[in-house]
Amino acid sequence: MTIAPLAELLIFGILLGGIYGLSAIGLTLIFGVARVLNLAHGAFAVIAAAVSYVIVQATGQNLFFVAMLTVPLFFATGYAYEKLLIHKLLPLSRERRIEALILGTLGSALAAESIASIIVPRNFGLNYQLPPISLGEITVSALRLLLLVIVAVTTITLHLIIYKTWYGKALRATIDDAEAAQLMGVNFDRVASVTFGLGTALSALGGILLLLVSNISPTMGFPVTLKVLTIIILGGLGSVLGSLAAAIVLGLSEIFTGFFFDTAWANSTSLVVLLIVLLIKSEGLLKR
Amino acid sequence: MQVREIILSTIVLATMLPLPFLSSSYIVFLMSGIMVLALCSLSFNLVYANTGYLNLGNSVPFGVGAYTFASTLSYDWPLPLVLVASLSAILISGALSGIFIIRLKGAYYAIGTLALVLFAQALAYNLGWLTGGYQGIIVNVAGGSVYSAYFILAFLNTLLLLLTSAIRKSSFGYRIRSIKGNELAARTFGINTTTNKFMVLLVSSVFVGIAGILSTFYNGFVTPESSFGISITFLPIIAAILLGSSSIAGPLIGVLIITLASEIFVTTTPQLTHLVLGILLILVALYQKNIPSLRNSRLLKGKLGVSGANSKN
Amino acid sequence: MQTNSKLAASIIVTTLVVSLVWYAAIPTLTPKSAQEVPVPGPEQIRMIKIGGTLPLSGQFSPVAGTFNKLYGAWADQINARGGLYVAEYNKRLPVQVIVYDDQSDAATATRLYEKLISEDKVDILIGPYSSTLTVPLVAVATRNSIPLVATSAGAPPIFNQGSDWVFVGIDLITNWPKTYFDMVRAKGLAKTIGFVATDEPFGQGILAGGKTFAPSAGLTTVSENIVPVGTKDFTATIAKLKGTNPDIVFVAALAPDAATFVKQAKEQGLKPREFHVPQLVKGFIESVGIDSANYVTGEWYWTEDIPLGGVWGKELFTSAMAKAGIANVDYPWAAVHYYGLEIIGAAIERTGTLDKVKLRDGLKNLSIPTISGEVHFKSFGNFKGVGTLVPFPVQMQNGRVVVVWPAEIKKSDYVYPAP
Repeated sequence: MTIAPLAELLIFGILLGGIYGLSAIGLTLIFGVARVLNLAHGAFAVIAAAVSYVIVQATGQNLFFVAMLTVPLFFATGYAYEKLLIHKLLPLSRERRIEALILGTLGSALAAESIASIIVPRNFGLNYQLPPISLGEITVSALRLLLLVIVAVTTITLHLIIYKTWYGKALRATIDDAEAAQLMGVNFDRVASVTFGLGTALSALGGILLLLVSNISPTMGFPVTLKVLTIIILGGLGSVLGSLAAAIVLGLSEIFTGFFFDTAWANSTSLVVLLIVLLIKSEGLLKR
Repeated sequence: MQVREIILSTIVLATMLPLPFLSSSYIVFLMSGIMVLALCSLSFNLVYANTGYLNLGNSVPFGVGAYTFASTLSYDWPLPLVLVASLSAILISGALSGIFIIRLKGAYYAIGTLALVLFAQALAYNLGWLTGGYQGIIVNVAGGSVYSAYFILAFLNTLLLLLTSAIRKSSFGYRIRSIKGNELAARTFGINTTTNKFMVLLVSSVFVGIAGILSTFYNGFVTPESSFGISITFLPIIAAILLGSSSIAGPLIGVLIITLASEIFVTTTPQLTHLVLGILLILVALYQKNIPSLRNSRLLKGKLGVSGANSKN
Repeated sequence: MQTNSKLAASIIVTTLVVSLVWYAAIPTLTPKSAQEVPVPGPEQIRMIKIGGTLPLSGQFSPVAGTFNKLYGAWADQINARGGLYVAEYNKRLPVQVIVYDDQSDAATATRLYEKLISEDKVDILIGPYSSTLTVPLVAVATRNSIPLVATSAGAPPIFNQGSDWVFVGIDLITNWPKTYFDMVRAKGLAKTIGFVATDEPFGQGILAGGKTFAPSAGLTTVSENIVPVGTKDFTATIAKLKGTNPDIVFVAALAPDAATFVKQAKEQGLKPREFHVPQLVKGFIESVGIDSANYVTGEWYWTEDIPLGGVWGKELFTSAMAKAGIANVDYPWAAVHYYGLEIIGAAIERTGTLDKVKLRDGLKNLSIPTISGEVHFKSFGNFKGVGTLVPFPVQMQNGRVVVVWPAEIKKSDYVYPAP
């Protein structure tokens, strides 16, 4: 077994994990703040990809340029989503709130998926051919390296936001103890809306990156949400580091399982890992 | 049984029973599909409304029953043996889900059971030699038809409705509803939450599993999509929550509404089906408390009119 | 007071529910006598009803979702001539094609075909897109004693269930690649071949066929990779193929997965001398990009360059396609569905009846010209009702897909290796 394939597998494993990780961080932040499992999270990623794709096809602009337009757009979408829908459901009693959130987020997921199917009625993807980079025997895709850099930069930026800004402080406080944070003057509603915006924007970015890496089908919103859910459970709900770690572990294990065994089992790897972890340690790897 | 429940059951049965004789086989197919989903929804709600546990893996026994039935038939096993094998498989999968309900709570339980059903689907896709893979298994029971399935399904639905009502008023029902209120307190009071949770889950699994067998029987095939797919996993759950989980017949009516509305769309403007369904769900989420007849109807809940500990809805 | 309004509300809900159920049932509530086929009086026109489903939504809609327009345009053309001549009625009868959306789902298709049979009371069925949806319909057609003329369905399980009622114009899926391998053999340059196949009837069938014919073309199979439908990442597969370095990479996958694979393969520097993608459809080309699709070979059933006329002449087909707004280059499978219409139309006119049993018997022995050649139905071993049409190789050359084999119909020469 030569080194060459291993390097590529490694890069792609981390990249795939990184892309899912962005979405997972978004979802786990949303959960940490508002205790909501947003079932429309994946659908938002898909619709962001669809919108970006259409704009690229229509205007001929570069995807990275379009992304600078689309990602803030979906920040606004997430923000509005919280303000118009989620906000109204949060004050309900415990049992009613869970049911209403399931119905509300699931309904939004269905509606978003439907809109995505109307925008682009078939599978779609973008193809930016960059010459493969060769380092000796190892040939890797330049595009994937570039995307990896983007993911890394985003993660670092996120880290800075969470630990160096006022919003970040309010965010961490709310995740730790929402009531105490409010007593200390944090405006919960605003933090919630902004976090939904941020989470959705992250998910949108993930969707756009996925556009370059593989094909997107307009109906894959829900399966993506499920995958991201398993990641955040694995990493422990509300833990940003946990989600990222779990995502990368999963990305790598999927790729390597596919290579050494059978591609058929690659997707199930995350499920098996999750099932085992839950049965041993019933609340995730890095429980908050 | 209260007078109200008898009236409701009579109205429903009076509508359903003559249907096969008066209408086309397509309608019987459609209604059978509805009853299969209704069984799944009622079973899900049996666990959810009483214990508060969201069993997202509700369709696991469904698929297990369906595949065991189909594959034993394809090996030409005699029918009685097929049924015994299928029922055993259903019980085993129910017990497996039971392990989950004992060990996990809340969101972790929900996602854990979801992972279970996704894994079951992956097994169905990948173990081609056993499950026929993507294409699934074709079933042809000699002399079988959708009409016999229809009546069995109607019978089972009625049975489950009565059972749900009976459990609600029994001491078993009080025990499991106390779990929903506060599990720790319930245990402190000496209630064996483990056994009780396990039992109600097992009962639920049996009904779902039989629904799976019947569905395979009259449809003539089983595939990973039809047995563990998103429709069969989530539609029953949405239907149960739609009209308020505290009502006994709510899941059944929810299934009826969703399926008939979708079917009307499917045969006219198919692209909008999901959009309309999605908007419906959002509206219900927002305005559920304004549908008093559904959440609080004494007609639907029976005379007690309470849903266990959470009576302040 | 409160009790009354709650009770009232409950009654309203119940009534609503009951009326929904009856609404669904009403179209079919007919007194027994009216269910017999009425003898057509002089004023009553008997319509020929053909029924089927298509994936107007769902994962197959990009490949076959527009074909309902083709059916409609065909019916319009036929009716413009007065319809199909049925000897039993001694005149031409108009045709009507009823199409429902099966959402690319087998259970939905099954239920809707029941509807077509029992409510719409169609005379004959035309099959849906894909073997996956067609397999369960065999039992439905057999149980209801109505002929089913399948279209894009070539998987063995459809034809070896022992049913007399199913027919299809195309050959078994395992025979499709044969013409392509004839071409490869004639060129005589390639030595090795690697396969990528999706784990479902289409992929598995083509893979089986490919492996059978490869040796006869002088090819050694060096790699065989079966992947799940909807695989989003092929890194592992591509790495394995790079290791074995085949001359030809044969992508036996449905269009969406084929596109993902080829896109990633090119990105990761997999450079075989040829990519062979049987499903060389618009969705694939657009996803991969015109540049990447250059010199990719595929397999199509029909192009404008074929001079054959079929049952009603080539113009009927081309004008129907034009009216429906379907270009063959975008939807090469349209022709396959058109064969279904040709078979049904010819069967009705030649047997001169709308009686289902007689139609079935007639179909068994028919030999019908289609826009791609002659069709008759083969019976061998357990198999019945298998057709004879196979696709032929095409290649994307400078932005256009052209036929490259056999010599009688080719428009351009096969380019190998890809420059």
